[in-house]
Amino acid sequence: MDDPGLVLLGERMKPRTLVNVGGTLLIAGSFWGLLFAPAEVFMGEVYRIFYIHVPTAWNGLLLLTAAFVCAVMYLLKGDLLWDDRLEASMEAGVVLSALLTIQGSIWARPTWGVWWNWDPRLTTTAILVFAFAGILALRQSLKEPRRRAMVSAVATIVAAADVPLVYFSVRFWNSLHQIQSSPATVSAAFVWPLRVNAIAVLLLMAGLIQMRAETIARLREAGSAPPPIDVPETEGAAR
Amino acid sequence: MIAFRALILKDLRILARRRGGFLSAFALGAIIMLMSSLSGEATPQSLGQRGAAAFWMGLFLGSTLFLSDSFETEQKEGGQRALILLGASPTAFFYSKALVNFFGLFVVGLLLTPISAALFGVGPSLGGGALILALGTLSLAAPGTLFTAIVSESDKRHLLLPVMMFPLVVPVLITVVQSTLLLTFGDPMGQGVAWHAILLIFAMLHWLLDGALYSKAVD
Repeated sequence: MDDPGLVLLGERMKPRTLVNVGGTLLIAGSFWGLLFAPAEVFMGEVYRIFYIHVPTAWNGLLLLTAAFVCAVMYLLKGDLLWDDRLEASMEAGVVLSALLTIQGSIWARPTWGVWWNWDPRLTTTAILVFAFAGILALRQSLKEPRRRAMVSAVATIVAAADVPLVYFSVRFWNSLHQIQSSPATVSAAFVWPLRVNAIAVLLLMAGLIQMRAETIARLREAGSAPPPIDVPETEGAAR
Repeated sequence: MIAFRALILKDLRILARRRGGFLSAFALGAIIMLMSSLSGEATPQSLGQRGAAAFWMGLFLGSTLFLSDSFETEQKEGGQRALILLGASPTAFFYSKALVNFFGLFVVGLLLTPISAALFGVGPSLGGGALILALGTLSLAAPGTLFTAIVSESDKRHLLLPVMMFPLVVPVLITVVQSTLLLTFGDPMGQGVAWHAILLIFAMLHWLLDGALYSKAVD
């Protein structure tokens, strides 16, 4: 584990430590946001989903970007460890992006009056989920590790390159989602629980991805290992 | 260049012999348009607006039947080994296949056009319609060819191709439907240029990127 590239997914820390610290921070940040942060002037209590929705969005996009980086690194280095990280990041990114759309719908119903709108960000996120889930489905149908890794890397790069175009095409078509907020436009009382949760989800995901990547590597090694030699039992050994 | 010409001729010959995929794509497209024309109001305005979406949905869905067996001939009977002996680069192989797929999809679209006009009553002008059809099928052919190559070794390729390709061609679908509507009902705000720009950027990105990555995908 001396590869400097492992730092990308926080592999300098033990994954269990990352998960424990992330989980604890997530509970603390959520309590802070739900119980102690003030209500928002216009949206009232509904806005509190923002403490999990925004960290989910940031980290979901970050993980899919990490999958893209892993794909490029695999093409450059040819090391299957990058493919393990690609799969782990992509799985976590797809789960977070799916959660993001569900959370967005829960927020949109009382705020916009609809569960779904063909807004650029909503549509782009939904398409990201489908595109990357398709790549995960493709991986299941390819058995040879090198072939699977190469095909996944190519498909991931093409899918990632498509994202800005999806965003802009839908933006031209229709838009309802508000523009991005920044610390300058959001009260400090809202910013800190949000930051705590964002860091919490990041640490949690870094730990889970590291664990998953190790599991994928073990499965791959087990799958590519030669079958055990069938040694016939001798009479003496049988007794 | 001689090798590329040989590849184009080979792909055109395969296209001519592989009529099953071609006819299936046309039949599926026509059925989707027919079903769409029967669902919803039958007023000229409603039919005209549904017609653009139905035409492109029919062509997109039909394209998967057309594309999914693109590499079948090459994979059979040592065809890939013969191509290596030809001395053409994998990139040339991609562009040859993508160009012929573009031509095939364009012809399927042309054949679907009179059916669309008959079912929905209105349609874009001939020149403008041909331009949008060319740009739309051009944008569909490059990612379609790359993803067909990627899934061609899988026994689930007929399922995986639409699952992988459709999310990525959403910009093309939105753009071509909007462009067709603007051509059919008029464009007083001059929005057509922006839509065409998106379509062109998409086509250029995929023809360049997919061509560059193809050799890795079939390595």
